[in-house]
Amino acid sequence: MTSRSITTRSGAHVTANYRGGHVRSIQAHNMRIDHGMRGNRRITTERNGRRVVSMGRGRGYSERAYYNRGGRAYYQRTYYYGGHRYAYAYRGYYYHGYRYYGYAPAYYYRPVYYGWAYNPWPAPVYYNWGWAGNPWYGSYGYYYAPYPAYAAAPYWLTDYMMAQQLQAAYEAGLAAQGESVPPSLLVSPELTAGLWSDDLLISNNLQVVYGAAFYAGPAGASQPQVSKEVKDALAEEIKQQIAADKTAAANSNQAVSGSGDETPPALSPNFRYFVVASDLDLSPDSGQECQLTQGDVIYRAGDQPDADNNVDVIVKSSKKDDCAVGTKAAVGANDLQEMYNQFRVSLEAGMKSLAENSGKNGIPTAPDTSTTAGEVPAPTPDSTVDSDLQQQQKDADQLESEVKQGDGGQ
Amino acid sequence: MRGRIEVSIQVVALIFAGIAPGLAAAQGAPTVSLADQLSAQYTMVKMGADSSGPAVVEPGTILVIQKGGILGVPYGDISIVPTKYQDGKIQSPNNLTMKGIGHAFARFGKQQTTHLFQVGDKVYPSKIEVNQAADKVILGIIACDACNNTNPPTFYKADLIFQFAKGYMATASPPQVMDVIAQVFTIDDSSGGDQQGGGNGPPGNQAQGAQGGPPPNQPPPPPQTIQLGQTTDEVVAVLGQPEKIVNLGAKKIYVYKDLKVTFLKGKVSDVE
Repeated sequence: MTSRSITTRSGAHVTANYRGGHVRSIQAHNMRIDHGMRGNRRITTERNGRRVVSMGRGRGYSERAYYNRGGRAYYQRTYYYGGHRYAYAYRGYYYHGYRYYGYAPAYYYRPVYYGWAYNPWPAPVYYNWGWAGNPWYGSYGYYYAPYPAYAAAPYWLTDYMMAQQLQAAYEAGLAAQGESVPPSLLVSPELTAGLWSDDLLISNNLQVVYGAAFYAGPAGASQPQVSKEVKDALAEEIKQQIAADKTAAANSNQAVSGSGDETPPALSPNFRYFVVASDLDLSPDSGQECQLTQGDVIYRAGDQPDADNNVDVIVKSSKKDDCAVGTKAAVGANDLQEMYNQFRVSLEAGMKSLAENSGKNGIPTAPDTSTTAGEVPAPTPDSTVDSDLQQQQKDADQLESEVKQGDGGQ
Repeated sequence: MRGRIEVSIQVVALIFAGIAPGLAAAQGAPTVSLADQLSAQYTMVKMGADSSGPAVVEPGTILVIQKGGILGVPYGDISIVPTKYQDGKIQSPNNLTMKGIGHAFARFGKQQTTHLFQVGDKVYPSKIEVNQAADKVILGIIACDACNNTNPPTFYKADLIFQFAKGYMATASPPQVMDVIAQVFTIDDSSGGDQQGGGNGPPGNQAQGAQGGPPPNQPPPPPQTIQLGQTTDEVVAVLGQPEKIVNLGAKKIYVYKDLKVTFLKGKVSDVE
């Protein structure tokens, strides 16, 4: 990596980093542009207390402080994705001098619901996800297949959450190629409805008849890359989080205080496996730079961040063209925490879906699925996020153009 | 068959909800008021007094004035004549108003001293009031004399009324209001220090990578110098806002990432 300081035509002083003759990052006042090894661009802007992050055209978030309580500062991020805005809350805190964000739920379920989700179900559940024929599932069928049956909610939630990541990865891939994202599901209603049944005997028979195509990915697919061991490990982490949420829900009326140093959950002994939530370049000690994409799975081998705030990880599951399984590298502790945050968001959505499916589609009936106040009031999505992202793209295009003109064509 | 098709459609909707989990909401969930959201964005300065007069007890977010003409008065004055900001223009109090105030002061044998803040002056926010019915936000400010190298300190203060169009605030989102405030006051980022989020640290102070956003890789700043006897205000002007403040009455400790500054009666007494 080589660095150059450049004064652009408009008078801005920037630092550009190059690798292999290509600009990999540009640092200007209030703006940073990073190019992944496959050319994907990430832009971060900080201005007037607002932080805007683009993860590709039309995808990203805007972040700002929105709430103080008991000495704790909370931030809201408004994500913009697929033309929609979604807001989540995060608590800011420090660990070893580094700033972290931790997901702060805006609501909890009643403890009894978490208990139901934690414990085994009375009988295995055969659930039809309806993914067959869906483009993302067709693309990633070689990589991932859902469990054939569910003995408890954490396994169902594991599949729910993996599917979210892979569908998002598929759509991000289309968006990067400039293609329009198709409707979320293009499943044949005839096929999925015909294959679904909450009768165990019928389900078993259907599994025998349609198993390869319906329960284990597209026909002809070999053993999926995400092994049962990895999925079970993810399911165990979900179980741990459900238990933690149950405790938090029971104590949700207690006052919170303090903003001191605290260990990020991503470094907790309970969390070792992480599903990659957005593109991430790795520089393994032993080999060539490679990339992880959404839905790949890594294992945290290190317990503590090093002086550069990085932690050792090992790739456990990866899609073709991504870093090979077994690759060892260092990943930022903040990156792991962001993966954990995404895990929390995704789990919350899964619990909501599970509550809505309670008593239907073969899922046992859950107890009280009503909700109560969470750690923070729910943030309202900022209506300015799309215009912020558009303006940021324009500013970044201009900066990159000026850097190209100012760098002598390096 | 109709029932079966509905099952499939429901699966579609649920998976979309999975990608858009923010749609989930607590039943009867409270929301955060605009005033609270603005207060989270801007840390208010806390003022006190020592033997030398008014003093900054806890610094707030440092704001840089982008439009001149805001009328300030000495810190001890009871009345403030507010300046109005509307349609992109500062409307300073007119001559007639100022003469009237001058006469009122003269009755008590005093002379009114005023000061017009200039573009580039640095100030602390001292209060935020939101009047949604009247579509206005009032931001109180106090001069950051240490930032402006004003010696002896004056602590001039002012109120600026942001007047929005009728009905605007009923539909505006907080960032839209903040953007209007930023037309007059931008958050100072010249020190690269802590300037956002209730004084608890800016996102830019973190070490984030591809997942959460990289930190701005600012060029190294010039060496920072702290001297015994400096005020809290002067230290904050050099180091930015601290990560933590330990308040022990007359003794206060400002904790930075790699530094602890101890103040005794508002002056630096120790640095470690």
